[in-house]
Amino acid sequence: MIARVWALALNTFREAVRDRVLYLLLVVGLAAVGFSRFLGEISVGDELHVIVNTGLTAVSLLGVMISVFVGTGLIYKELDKRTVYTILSKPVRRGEFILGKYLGLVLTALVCMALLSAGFLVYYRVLAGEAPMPRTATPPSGGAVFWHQLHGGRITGALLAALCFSMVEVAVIIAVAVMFSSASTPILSAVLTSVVFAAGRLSHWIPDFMDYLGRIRTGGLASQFFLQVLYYLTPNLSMFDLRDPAVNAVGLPPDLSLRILYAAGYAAVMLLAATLIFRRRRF
Amino acid sequence: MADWRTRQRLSTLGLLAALAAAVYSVTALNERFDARRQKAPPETVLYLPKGRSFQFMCLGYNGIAADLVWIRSVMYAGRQLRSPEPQSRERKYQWLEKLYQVTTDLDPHWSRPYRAGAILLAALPQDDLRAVNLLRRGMGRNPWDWEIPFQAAQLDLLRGRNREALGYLKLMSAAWERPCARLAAASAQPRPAPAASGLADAEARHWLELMQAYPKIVTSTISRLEQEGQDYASAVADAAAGLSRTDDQVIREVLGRTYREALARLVVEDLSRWAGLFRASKRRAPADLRELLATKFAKRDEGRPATAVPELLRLELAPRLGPELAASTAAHLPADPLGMEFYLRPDGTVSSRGLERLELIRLLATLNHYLGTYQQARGGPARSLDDLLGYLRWLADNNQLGAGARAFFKYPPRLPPHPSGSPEGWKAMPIKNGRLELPPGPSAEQMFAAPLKLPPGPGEPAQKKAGGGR
Repeated sequence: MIARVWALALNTFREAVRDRVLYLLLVVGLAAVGFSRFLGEISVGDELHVIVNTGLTAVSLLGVMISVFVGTGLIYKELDKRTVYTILSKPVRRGEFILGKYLGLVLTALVCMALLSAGFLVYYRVLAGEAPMPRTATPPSGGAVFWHQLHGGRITGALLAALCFSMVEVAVIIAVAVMFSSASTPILSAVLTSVVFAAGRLSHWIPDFMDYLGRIRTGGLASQFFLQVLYYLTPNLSMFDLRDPAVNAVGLPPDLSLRILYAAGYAAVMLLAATLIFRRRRF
Repeated sequence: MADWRTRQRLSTLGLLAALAAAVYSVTALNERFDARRQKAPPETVLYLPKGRSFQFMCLGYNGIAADLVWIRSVMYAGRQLRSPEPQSRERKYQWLEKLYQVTTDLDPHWSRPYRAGAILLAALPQDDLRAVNLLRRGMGRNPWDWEIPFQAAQLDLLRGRNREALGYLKLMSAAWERPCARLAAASAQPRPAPAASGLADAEARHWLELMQAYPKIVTSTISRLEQEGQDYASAVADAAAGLSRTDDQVIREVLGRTYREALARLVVEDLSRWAGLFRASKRRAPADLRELLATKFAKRDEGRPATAVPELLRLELAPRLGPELAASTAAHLPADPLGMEFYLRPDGTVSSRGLERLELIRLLATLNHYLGTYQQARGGPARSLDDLLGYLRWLADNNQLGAGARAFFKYPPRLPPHPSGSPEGWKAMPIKNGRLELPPGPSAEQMFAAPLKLPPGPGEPAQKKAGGGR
């Protein structure tokens, strides 16, 4: 089973990297990171803060866009081009097909995000916050200049953790996109995935909102129940946002492994739902 | 046939006339709108949503949104600073606080907007109340951040509010003891700033060492404050060092204001000391400041000849400001660095009319804020300051007086001393339309634009050192 899923994932990856949209998104992401230097210069002394925020945002948005633009057409394209018949005529189960597609796209997104992250980290470490060379009697050598330029931002564990958790977040969104893709058209899937992404990013406000409704004594049981259901249905994506520890050095939360477990559980639920839907489809 | 042609020509002419009329009206309207735009540019900050609403809109990408609003605030401050049109001081920077509020709501753990925002609020619109409120908000959200109380302490030290400064310094010591502060210091995330801000390596290293030594510095400052009182000489030296490190117009303006004020306070302190010596030696107070300035002092154990007060001042300032700036300050006496003058009070101490007016401007900003609150709560303007105090007393007795008001008015609420030192000072200031009006005289902007030699920036040619003003 693992060999079949892996073969499907690799094929999905090969097919996805041929998509020019990916390269366009990557170039836009790198341009945003490069541009952050100019923004930083007018921030009066907090250049690194601006560069880190821009880098983290660019990496996260790149993953989200790949999920929405590529992920939502994943299953539909196979059905539309009838290539699904060739695959399913082999001894491949529909669940394996879904899992293979999901893993292939996750691999694609991770490779793109890793490339952008590497570009961002090199930029941050080498170029950002470049200090003037100290004055010496003799002109400095090329090596000394390069070594001096490595005085940019310091790459901390929190920064790496923030980048990794952006990837975990994208893995969850791709699972949502695959679920919608197995049930509807790419446009509708893209819209629904974007809505779930937005709701997931804001879902941590729902308990506050429920508290507020309770305090002002409005909203009946039905609305409380609806909000409760919405809270558990949408992924709590704020769990994967580690920007604050990375940028403001406030310390990483202690429950990182539980957050990864939550992401795996939510993605598993989405993929199971996608498999159930896909098994019932007639084509 | 001819009829048809005539009709065609007429209709073409009609269309051309309509086209010309339309072009004319569009151009005229456009010019009119252009003229309006030039007169009053639309204030885009007006449409900035509140921080909490903004958090919803940016879908959790708060950090980048906070950065953009912060950059907007820097541009706003710079543009307002350079804007030539005569606006009232409060209205000129009216959106500054909102921009900082939104920035800090979006990224509550980012320390710089609290600190730099407070510096700009205190320096540009001279609004100490809002500056302190911003810092207090920062302290509430970041109890481990010792740099925010340090900024508050610096502001209070500069204004001569030693007791409040002492409180903040003690808070800073407590913050340093929190584990999070150690984590923030160790992680060095915000710490590479010296290298990033363009300081040379040796300077950056010195700065970092200084920061590591802050707990010791704070302890010694606390004990010095508890024993002696004020240290304006360090404030002048710090501002001079800052000015010599930057060419940025906004930063130079802010540091220049600090420099002028600290220098004025330092000179007041020195002149008051010599007035005391005058009284001790001649058993009478000097008739006026000119008599004091003309008097020569000599120490018995030094072989130096007796020296006049301006020369003594020059000798004291020279190690901190350099010979040229020290000589210029001494030569300007009795003019003060704020474009007004030093004078001798009836109690024998020396004061600065510029400092007194500046303090009055700040106090009026705060009092007018509370007079506005009174008007909102009571539905009508206060008739006198006693009315306001009565209202505040009622609030305090019912536990509704905010922390800011409690810090300003103390308990039971009373007016702060009038900057002139005269007990009749407040009584001479009537309330008109619910507001206290500033007596005629120069505005804060004019005082900070008075001719004075400032330490030159790194890019400024040496000849320009002698250039005056801003």
